[in-house]
Amino acid sequence: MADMMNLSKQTNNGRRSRKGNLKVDLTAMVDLGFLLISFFMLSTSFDKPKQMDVFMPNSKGPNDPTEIKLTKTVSLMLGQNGMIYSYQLPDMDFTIQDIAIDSFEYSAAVFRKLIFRYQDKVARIHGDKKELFIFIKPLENSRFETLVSVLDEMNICNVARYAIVKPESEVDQYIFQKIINTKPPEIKL
Amino acid sequence: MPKVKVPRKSTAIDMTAMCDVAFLLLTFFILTTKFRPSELAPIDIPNSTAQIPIPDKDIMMFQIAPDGKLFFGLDDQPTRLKLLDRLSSQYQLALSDKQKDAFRTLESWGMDIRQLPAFLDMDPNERAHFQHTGLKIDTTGGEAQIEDLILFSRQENNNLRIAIKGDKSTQYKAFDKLIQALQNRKVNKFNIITSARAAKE
Repeated sequence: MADMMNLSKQTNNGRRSRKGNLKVDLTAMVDLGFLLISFFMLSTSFDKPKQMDVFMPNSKGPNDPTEIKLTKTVSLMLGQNGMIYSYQLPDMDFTIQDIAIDSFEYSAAVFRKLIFRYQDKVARIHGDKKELFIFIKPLENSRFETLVSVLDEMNICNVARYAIVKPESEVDQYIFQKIINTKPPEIKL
Repeated sequence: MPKVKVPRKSTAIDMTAMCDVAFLLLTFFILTTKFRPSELAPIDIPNSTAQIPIPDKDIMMFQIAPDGKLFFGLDDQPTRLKLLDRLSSQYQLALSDKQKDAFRTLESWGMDIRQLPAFLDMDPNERAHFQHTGLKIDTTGGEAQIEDLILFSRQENNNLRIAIKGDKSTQYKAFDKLIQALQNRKVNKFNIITSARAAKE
């Protein structure tokens, strides 16, 4: 199209038009086109971020605590640098020293194994692994990334029942003092 | 032996088709592009397997910088203006039309609400380089600025969804303060913004 060569070379009124062809040099235009393309390519963001739904337990709702057997529950404390402390309490009376506390650094494989182990245990005792209830207790200095990963693993491992709560139980206090060696946070009631 | 005459060809290439392609692509990119909003602080979002894309509109976005500073943003300009009206009556800010217009185009911000008029008075260049101090968090009592932001925005636009964008290395306590503010306003459902990742590793 650009080289409409000599199409209009002669006009009727006998005036001689210039002989040279009408080829336009498009190189500059192509350059410009690609320059703009690169600009728009770089400024656009293709991988649209995704969103993850989070539901918090109703903190000031009707005070109706449903009782859950302790053997169905697992507590996960998220500590500094991706450390995770997990424990499970027995139904009967216990002394804090007897509680087995697992501590490990977060990695998806180890974490998943742990969740599967708890699911199996709950399935053995209560018949259904869906009965498992996980308390996620992030400490103040834990990384946001760890929390998101843990919440994500809940979805991957089909743990339907979990909640983000504050580390306030006696065992949590014990872990603070003996294992993490920090002062427990002040608890506001 | 007579030499074979190689006909001299012109080196000029017909650029027409290339030009067409270039502009076709250009049109595509212009139409699909959605500019990245300017960031107040670099935020590296965590990964998750969540697959739901963020909706395009009706978003109230809280950003948490690595140092725990909180920023607030609404995507919808009319709602921003309504929010500003509510804020100025609540905090007795006397705002000129020029200041209101500056707020209308403000993508996100984070500072004590009382400092807003001074900030909006700056010229645009100065505003772009302003160091935001983060929203004022006061959970112990007194004024609850974050709670007010949440309440007013939601009253002005009922469909607002709350999204939280936090940096990977943000400490949980910053997040916790925001959650408390949200829960004080009876918001128990919100979204965390993550980038996509495959489930199997």
